[in-house]
Amino acid sequence: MVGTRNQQKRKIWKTALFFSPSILLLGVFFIGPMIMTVFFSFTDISLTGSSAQAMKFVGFRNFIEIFKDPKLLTVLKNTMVFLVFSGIIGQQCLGFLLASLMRGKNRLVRKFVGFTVVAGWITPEVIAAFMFSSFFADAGTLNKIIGIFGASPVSWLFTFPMACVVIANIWKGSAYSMMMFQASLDNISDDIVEAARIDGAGGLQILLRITLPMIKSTMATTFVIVTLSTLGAFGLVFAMTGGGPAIMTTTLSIFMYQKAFIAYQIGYGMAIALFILAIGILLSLVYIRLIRANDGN
Amino acid sequence: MFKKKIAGLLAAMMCVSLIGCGGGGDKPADETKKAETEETGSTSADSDVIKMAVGADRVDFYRGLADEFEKQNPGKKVEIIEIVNGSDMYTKITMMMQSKETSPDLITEDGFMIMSDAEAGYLEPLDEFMKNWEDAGQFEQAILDGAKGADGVQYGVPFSTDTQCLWYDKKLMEEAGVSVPFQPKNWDEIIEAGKKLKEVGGDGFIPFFLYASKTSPEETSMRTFQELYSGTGGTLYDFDTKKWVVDKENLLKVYNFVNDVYNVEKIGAPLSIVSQQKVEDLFVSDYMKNGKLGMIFTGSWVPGNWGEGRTYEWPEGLDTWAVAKIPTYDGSGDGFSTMSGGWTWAIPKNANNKAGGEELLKFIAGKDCQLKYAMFSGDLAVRKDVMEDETYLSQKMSVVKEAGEMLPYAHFRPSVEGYSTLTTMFTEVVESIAMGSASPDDAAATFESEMKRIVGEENVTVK
Repeated sequence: MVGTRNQQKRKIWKTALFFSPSILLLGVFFIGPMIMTVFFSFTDISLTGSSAQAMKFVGFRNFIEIFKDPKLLTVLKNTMVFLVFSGIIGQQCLGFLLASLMRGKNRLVRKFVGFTVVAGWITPEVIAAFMFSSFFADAGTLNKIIGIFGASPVSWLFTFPMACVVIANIWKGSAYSMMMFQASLDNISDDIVEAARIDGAGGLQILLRITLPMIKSTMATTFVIVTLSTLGAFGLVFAMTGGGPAIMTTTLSIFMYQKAFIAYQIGYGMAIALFILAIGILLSLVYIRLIRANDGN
Repeated sequence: MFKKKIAGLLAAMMCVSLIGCGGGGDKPADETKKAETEETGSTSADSDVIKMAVGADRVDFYRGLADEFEKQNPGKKVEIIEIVNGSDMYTKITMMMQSKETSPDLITEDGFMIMSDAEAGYLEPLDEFMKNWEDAGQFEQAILDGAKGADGVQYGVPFSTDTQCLWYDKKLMEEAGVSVPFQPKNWDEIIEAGKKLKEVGGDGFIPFFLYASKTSPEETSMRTFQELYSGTGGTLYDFDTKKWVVDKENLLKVYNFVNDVYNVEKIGAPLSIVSQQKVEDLFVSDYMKNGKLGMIFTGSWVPGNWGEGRTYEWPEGLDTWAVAKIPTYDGSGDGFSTMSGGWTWAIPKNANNKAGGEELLKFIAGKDCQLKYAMFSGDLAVRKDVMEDETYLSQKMSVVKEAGEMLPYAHFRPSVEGYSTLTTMFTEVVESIAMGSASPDDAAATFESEMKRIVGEENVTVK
């Protein structure tokens, strides 16, 4: 008995020992700043002016401000459009489509397509933004191409700014979903698909009844990760349009930047950051619930 | 048992090696620091290195002055910190000044940030410095007052000022049938000239450019909104009651003008140009040289960009472009109005080498350097001895004489507490009109509600 207890004790110590580096790092670089964000979001701290020196606690004023801001509705709508079209529909669906089309193709095709798609993912954000800015510019590539067919040039970044950043973000991010789906699709044994086919299942049935249920957990993970990274996406949109024209591409993260670093209201900016976090958590919970509900059936 | 011991040992080793990593990481860092100081040639203490933060487009110019300073003061080293230009500059400088680790010893500070940064405790008072500086008498009192905090303390030493003017292309004006020299007496005459220019201009031609975008925030706030508003007789801030003012009647004059330019007469620029980053570079490098722009409200410094040795050198620039004073709304009041800004040198409170900063400040705010700066930048001089200098007065690529004549009509930004947040709002409202997403009436209503929201209803007077 004594031996077991000692062993248990030792096990706990060992676990703690192995965990300590990661807990330490998380604490210093993640949990610490996070607590500070919560703290500052209840103050009127600013980058300059008297409240930079002596900040005051203002209770929930910053959070009330968010909901009183006349731009909030547009910004929320922009964020959702950007999230749904570039993150969920664009990256996820395109990623899945690419992954399933590449299934069973020969190695050369897989390598070529894979590399092409991943190229977008490994391109640094700002470079991708410049690339797309010049692609959509008034005298840019796209206008040159449509010019060949006799169409007159369009100011893409100003007439369809949201569509431009959505396309750029799909190009940039699809590779991640594709790789995740590829890995999980490879795990589906050919025998199961074969068996289903012998039982008379068509392509759609195999997709809906075999493939999708089997990669469900991967889907949940990628959905959560893609959602969170799209909600936080800043560099690409900022470098392409700066949130404009007017506020047509201002998403929550750009809104946060403008309040914190252009209008110098750091406390307000932090409150918006927490608001983004809350939306992220909420959406993640919804995904997880949806997947679980399906499990019940 | 044996396995577990090994596991424990391994874990312990891991931790030790982690700590080792930390220690090891620190050492080379120290060594690099030492190496750097040695490399810059300063063998003694840190006090010989003076860190100066300047805008990215001024780095080469200031390097030249710094070299001179180093020659005159053997053993001293000036390290230049390059700050990105545009509105991010203010953000970056304020953040650098927050910590001793990053604070420069001398910075270029835009005049309108002084009150706010002084209030934040970022700036070192310079009253004592000015008392002991033999050159202090070279500055006009009004110019020195512009570099004081709300507490009346001197925080900056001015080195340049400017006025806003109406720049126009003489050749295109003549072509359009507008007599040159052009001097409009009210805003309608500007619109009329714009309409005539529109008729002679071709595809992609901009008859009249007014800043109207968040991508040029302070430009839109000052060169469009405040410039026009100062010509309506309206005020933004009442220094007696210490309250911000909402004056809808005068706001509407401004907003209707912006609306006329962009939406009614359509003599403004396409939105793709308005929203472009660094649009002024585009104008001085291309549009103004190639007859693609008719008129623009901008600073008196423009020809500085075309000076000898500058990136966009164009010695014949002033054969094509000329300045006019910007009239008031209907020519009443003083008849003209201009917004004046200015730049100063300041020493951050967190500077590690304040003595060095002051020494460099005396040199760089001295006559020689200020004269060189005025010649280089095209800005107006602020020292009396520079203003009277023959080289300054006779420079070819500048409109210092015309711009100097505008100074009596100058207005200044109310850079009191709250301005740095409100100015973003001024810009956003103008932008919403130019983009066609708000009517002038909507805009005036937004101005009122936003002003109340930002500074608090108790701090606003509505007229």
